[in-house]
Amino acid sequence: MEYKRKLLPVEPYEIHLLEKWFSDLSAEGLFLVRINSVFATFSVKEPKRMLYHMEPKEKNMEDYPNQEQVELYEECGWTFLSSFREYFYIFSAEEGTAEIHSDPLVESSLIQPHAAKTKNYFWIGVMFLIFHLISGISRLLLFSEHRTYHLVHGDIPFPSLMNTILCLALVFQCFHTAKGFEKVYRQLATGTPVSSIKTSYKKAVRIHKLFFYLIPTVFVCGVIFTFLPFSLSYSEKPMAEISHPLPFVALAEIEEDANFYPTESYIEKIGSEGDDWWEMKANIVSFYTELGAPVQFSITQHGKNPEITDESGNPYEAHLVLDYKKFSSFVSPQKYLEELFTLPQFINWEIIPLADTPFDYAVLAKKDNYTKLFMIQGQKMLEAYYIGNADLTKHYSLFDDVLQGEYHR
Amino acid sequence: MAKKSMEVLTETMFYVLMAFQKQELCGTDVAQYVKKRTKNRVSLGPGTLYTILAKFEEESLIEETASEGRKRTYRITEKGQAAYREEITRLRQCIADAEAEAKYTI
Repeated sequence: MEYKRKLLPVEPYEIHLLEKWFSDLSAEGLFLVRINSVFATFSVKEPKRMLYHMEPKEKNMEDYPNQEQVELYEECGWTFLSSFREYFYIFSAEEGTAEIHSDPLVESSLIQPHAAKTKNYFWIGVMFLIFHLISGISRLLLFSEHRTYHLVHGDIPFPSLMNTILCLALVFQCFHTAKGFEKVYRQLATGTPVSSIKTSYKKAVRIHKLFFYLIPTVFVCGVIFTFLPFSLSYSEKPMAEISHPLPFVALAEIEEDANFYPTESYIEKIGSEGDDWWEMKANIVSFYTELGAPVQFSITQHGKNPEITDESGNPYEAHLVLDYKKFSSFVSPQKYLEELFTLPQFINWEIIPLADTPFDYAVLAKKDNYTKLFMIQGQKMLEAYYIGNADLTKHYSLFDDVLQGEYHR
Repeated sequence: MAKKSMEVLTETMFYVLMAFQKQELCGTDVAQYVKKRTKNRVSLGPGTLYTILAKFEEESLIEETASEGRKRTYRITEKGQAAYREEITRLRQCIADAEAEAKYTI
């Protein structure tokens, strides 16, 4: 048997319009077989006008109506066809068959729970919308305060904006659905049969198309733009697997010690006894891509010299993270640094602008035995984060060579 | 303003309760009784009949007495009788008011 699929033309609460649409299609040889939220499937047969009835589901919302109901309706000429979302069962009958409902007020009692439920969905949607609005406004304010920093680190409030727009679209649809069911309920409750309810078909189709295209579009855009940066961004590889040149300064060169060697891995305890431990492999390259800085590398190195020990007999260990960034043309590297130093992570750090360097701009940040050296050349920035005894400012030439190069992923 | 369903009995619901006054009946018998009693003036669609019987049973106006496959037999309860008598009183009052108004007009 041949089947055809058609997109539903109107919202589910347009009962009379849908029943008429099914009936008109049957007169063209298309007979409804089943229906879901988006499509109706029709079998192609000899044209013959049929009647269709959308019977509101009761509370249980099963996919198949009560057997007693099915048999009673069949005795009167109505055959069960399909369940339609959580709202309706669809029956069909030959033309001329008496209507399933002879009392609109009784029929209204079946619609009333759906009108109430869709109204509840609307108010739940409004609560979510308020939450997203507050969240989105907060993110926007935070973003505005450190705009450059957030652009570089990918912390832009675009997902919040998309969530808010999606919520707004869903609330708008819930409002229309609730209003639609309420209208049907009130008409039936005043004794007006469904077939007498006046609705503009063209307007109903326009409203349906708006929701049908708008909401999925907003949803897909939100998902893509939320997860696209993640998919393009972070990845981690051992140095040995990197085939093209990277901005690299060997930790052994910083230590100026030929006996200094990179370790396979080290374990650093965070927090107090019983807390989680983390293990980091030495010589790992991490790649980042963000709107404010499309090229970002972070190379981690760790090494030790067992010939040098402290009072407890532990070998001397040093740690170097080289963070290279190439900023987008609309981002100022100096502005990025200015915003970076206002963040809580730099409380109690000593910030020292450096003069007489081969760079456009350089800053040294120190706290205890932690050192961060920031060097800017044009739109590029190299950050050397170091724990150890060496003096990074004695190795400008090594860092300058790095900043002269061009790198890619 | 739209009435809440089942707060006031519609004509159809009233005749369904009337059907149970003297005997226990199944759904099909109720439909036939109403058709005959009203001389085809009031018809009971299968959906209307099914919904009314289900709602009346839920609100304890009728109760099931027997079940043979699809065929379920019901009888009216005390609560159903009280609702029926209340509706008759209301309808009588409506007619009395209408007749008084007609006398006054004349």
